[in-house]
Amino acid sequence: MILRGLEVEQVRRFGDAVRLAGLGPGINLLGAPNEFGKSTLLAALRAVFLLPHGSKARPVAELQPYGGRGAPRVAVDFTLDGCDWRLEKRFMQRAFVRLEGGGERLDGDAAEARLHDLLGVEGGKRGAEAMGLLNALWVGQGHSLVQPDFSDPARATIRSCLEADLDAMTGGDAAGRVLSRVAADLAVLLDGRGNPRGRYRAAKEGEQEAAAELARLEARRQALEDDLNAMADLRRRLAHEDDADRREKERADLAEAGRVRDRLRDHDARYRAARAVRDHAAAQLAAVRQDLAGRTAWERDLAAGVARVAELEGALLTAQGAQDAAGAAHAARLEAVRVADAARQAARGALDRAAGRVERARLVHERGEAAAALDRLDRAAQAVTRASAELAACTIDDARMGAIRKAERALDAARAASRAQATTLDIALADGGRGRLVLDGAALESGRVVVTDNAVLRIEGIGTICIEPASHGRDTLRAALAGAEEALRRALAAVGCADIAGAEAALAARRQAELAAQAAQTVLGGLLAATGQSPVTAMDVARRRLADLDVRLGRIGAADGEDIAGDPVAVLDAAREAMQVAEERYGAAHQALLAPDETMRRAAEDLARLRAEWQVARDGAAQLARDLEAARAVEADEALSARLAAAHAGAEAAELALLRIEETRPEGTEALADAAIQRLERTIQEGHARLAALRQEMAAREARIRAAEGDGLDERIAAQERLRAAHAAEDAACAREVAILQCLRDAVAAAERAATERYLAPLARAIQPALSALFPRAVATVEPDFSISALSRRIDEPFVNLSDGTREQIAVLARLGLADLMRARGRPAMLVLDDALTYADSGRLDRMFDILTEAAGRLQIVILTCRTELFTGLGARRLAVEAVGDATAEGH
Amino acid sequence: MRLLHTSDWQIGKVFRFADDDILPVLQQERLEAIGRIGRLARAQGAECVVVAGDIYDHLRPSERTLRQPVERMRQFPDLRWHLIPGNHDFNERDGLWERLARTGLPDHIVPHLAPVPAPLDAAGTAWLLPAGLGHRHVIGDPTAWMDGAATPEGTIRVGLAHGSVRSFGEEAAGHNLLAIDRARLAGLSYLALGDWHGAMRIDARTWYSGTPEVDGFDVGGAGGGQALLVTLDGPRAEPVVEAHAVGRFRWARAQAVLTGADDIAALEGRLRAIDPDDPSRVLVWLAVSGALGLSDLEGWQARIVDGLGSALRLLRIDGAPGLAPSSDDLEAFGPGGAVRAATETLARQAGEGDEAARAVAAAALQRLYLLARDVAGGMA
Repeated sequence: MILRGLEVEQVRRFGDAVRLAGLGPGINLLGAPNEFGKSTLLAALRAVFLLPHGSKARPVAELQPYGGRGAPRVAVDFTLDGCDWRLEKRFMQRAFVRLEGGGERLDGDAAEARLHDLLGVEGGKRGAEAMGLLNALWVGQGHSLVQPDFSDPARATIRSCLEADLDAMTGGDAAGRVLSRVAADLAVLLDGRGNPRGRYRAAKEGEQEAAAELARLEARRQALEDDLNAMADLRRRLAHEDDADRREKERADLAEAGRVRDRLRDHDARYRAARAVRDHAAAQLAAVRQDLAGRTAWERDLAAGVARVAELEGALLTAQGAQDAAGAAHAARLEAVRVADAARQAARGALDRAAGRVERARLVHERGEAAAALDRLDRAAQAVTRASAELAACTIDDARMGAIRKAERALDAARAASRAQATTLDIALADGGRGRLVLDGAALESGRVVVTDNAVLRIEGIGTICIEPASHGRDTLRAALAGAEEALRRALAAVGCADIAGAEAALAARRQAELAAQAAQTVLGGLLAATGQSPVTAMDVARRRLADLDVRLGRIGAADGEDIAGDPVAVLDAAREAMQVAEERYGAAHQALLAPDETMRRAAEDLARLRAEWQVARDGAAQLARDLEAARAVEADEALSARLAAAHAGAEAAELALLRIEETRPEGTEALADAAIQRLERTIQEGHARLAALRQEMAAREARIRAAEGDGLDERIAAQERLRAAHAAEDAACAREVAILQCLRDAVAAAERAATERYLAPLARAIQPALSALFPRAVATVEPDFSISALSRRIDEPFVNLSDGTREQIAVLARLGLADLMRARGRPAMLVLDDALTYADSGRLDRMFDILTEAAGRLQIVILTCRTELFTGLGARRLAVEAVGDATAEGH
Repeated sequence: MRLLHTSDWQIGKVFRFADDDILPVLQQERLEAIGRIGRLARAQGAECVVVAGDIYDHLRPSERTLRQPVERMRQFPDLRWHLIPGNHDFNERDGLWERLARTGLPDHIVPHLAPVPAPLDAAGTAWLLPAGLGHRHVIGDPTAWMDGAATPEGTIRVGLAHGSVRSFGEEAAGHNLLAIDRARLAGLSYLALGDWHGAMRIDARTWYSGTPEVDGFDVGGAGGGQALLVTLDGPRAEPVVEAHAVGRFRWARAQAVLTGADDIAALEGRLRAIDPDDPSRVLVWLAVSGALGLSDLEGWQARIVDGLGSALRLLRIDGAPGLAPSSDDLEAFGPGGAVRAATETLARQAGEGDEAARAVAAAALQRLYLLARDVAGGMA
């Protein structure tokens, strides 16, 4: 389809008729500033092709000139399938349409129909635009960013284009309609989230409500049944309680129980009286018998008492004899004691004498010992005195001896020093020389002589030689030697010794004296050691003891025992043995006397006891005899026998009477009768209470039952069951309907998807070359509604996330592809872009130009823009708007 | 003397299958039947009406339901209405009969709750031996007492009981079983029975009247909707029994196998013929099967479902004719395309899987045909 001319008149800003000049195949560019009327021209183009001439719809009204009413008129010249056509329409007043071409000239609706047929569009409703693909290809200002929004006819057109390739109808459109019908039907039953709605939901809720109500009613019915059952039970119990016969019987039973108890009480009283009578008779009989027995016993006891007295008197005589014998024996024992005591006294005298002798002997010996001790003590004291005197006589002691030795050593040292400075003379005497050599008067012998001081050597026969040693400090040495000799001499003088040897001897003598003194002291110490006394005191003590012993010896004297021969100790031992024997004998006799005399004690006891028994027996017999006599005086034995017989008869009669009463005892006991009465009384009493309670409960139950019955529970339950069943059936029907619709939807949707995938392939192929040119290696995802949902380069990019420029370019490419597809199928196709590609960068714009240029070889493209400079590189056919009548057209 | 024998009114009965429109009509008509019975009795000179139990459907009816039949009978004071409890409305203590008594029944409405002979008419020429039920299920024969029941010499003895008759020699334990020869054993001139909803003659003197207004699609005997006019000329005379229609609605079961338009037409004719004068008196329970082409399916919908469904009082349909699409039907979708592919998918699903899934797929397929045809029509 090639648009060759466009005229407009009374269209918005174009009041007078103007023409778009320069239209032709390829790219047509109308570059003009804003407000020039480019969009008006596009609106006029859409109006003349798509709006029915009689329409007064808004798109038509909007075509009217500014500021006034008018009749918009649009005319186009176009070539379609090699045939030239002219189409002219006037809207609003005196509206008309005329289509001329191919030898045809059509007006009015026929023209419109033919036009639709030519364009492959579907007439719009109520004056709206006809629907077809051209709407999508002619993009108005501001719509270039969005992808074509296809109407149903547009989709049908595309689909038929695509299906032509498949050589088969996909039925995609029918499937779409079926799907929308199914979706609509499903939407009646299910909401967006797939939950039941409308009648489906009502059915479900209704069933639940009905079930709940039913459960409530069933519960009430159960309560009613319970009430009825309880009522029946109550009625039975009431009938039982309220039975007049039963109550009369209870009263009669109570009266009878009372009578029984009275009878029992009466009988009991009589029985107790009879029993008292019997007990009395029995007591009387027992008393008589007791009297009788008592009298017999008395007689027997009396006889026994007399015999006993006689027996005891005999025994008394025997006991007296025994006691006398025992007394004699005791006197004999007393005498024996006296004899033994005398013997003991004699033995004691002998013993005392023997003991006195032994004591004197001991004292004599003791005095000897004391005198000896005194003598030893005296001698030891004298020895000590002597030793002390000797020791005191010694002038030397260790200290003085030390001083002497010290002076000696000093002298030795002075001499040594003197000798060290001395002149040594070595003398060797020739034979016969001996004695001829004299030094300082002393003959010299062979050997060495030391001359410490001036000396004169005289050699016999020769002369003298004065020797003066040339020693240094000789005077000093000589003085020291003299001092030392003096000191030694003084020390020796102090101890009274001539020389050291004397001093040494004196010191030894002193040591001997010290030892002797020490020995004497030791002896004395040994004697005194026991007493711890001084020697003087000890000697005093010893002398006093001696004197004391002398006194004691004097006291004992020699009077006793001197006449007795023998060893005093042996005599004493013999006396002691004699004394021991005498003591033992006395002890035995005394023991015999003091030992308890059982025989005598028993004899005395027996005698006393027998005397007491005899007294009692005698008194008892006498009392018995008196009592018996008194009793016989009151009641003779014959009278007592008669009373016994009478009491016997009375007791038998009373026992018989008691037996007779016992035989007439009524059944049961009084306690049982009382219990029966109490039970019956309680039964009667509680019966009234029970009756009242039962009536009260029955009234309550009855009220409940009537209330429930008035509700018609059974009827309501049946109605509710019907309701629930109806809802359940409706629910099932809805569920089935949903299942059917979903099954249908799934099947159709799957089929449509499969078909769409098949027939979308050509569209994708149509778009792909241009797409690849613009976006290398990119693949577009085409949806069943022919929109491009995403661009896949390295990753999938949803369309809405792409930049404005990219989205616009893709939208243009999509239209280009669709137009190409239509053209290839022989459909009318041309593209109008109003202010498109304004977001493209220069690189993209160049490639878009290439793409458009390439496409323009196949189809006409009209570009309307206010930015002419952008499109200078497009090499487009330039369009101009000129008043009708201008002969020249700009561009080429 | 003449009496009218009826039973099983079952006032207050709820019909589960009936929707909210139909249920009140059906219930109302059961009440109207009482008026028709009364008028029939009057017209035929009957002195009394004996109702052999199940006057009420529920043991605990609402107050209104309880009073409604009484009010209908009240309109016929010239007739004595003798009622006994049946198994639906048995005489339980504190139950509906006591409620009924408390409402204050007029003298001509006589409930017989105890097995005690009572005069049937004012003159006392006939005596009624009633055997109402005291429980829903009674062990033993409630009519047994009639054998030894004393009535004045020379009077007509009419038994009135509710239950199933027992065959001769049948000793099996059962509920409410009546001796089939009770009329003979008890010297009854007539034994009026209730419980069976279709009128039935057991012997010359023993009859079930059936329900006066049919209440089900499966009513035995001669079908319901009748009352029996009984003429008793004397204690020994054989009763003359005439059945009179008193019901309004006709209940019918029907079956049809549909394979084409002819079958549909025949079915329509058959159902319309049940009551050509007034199809609104007809209730039909139709079981249908078979398969139809698309256009015939439309015909089924139009003539039977919509047409007869509107004409009849009730058309309850079990099943539905399947779709047997013709080659023309298939062609409507073209040789290829998504819808055609979907039909093939659904057809395959309808032949495999479990029963429920197959049924759903078949229904979906049928729906698809209809929709696709509608869509195509819309496009045309």
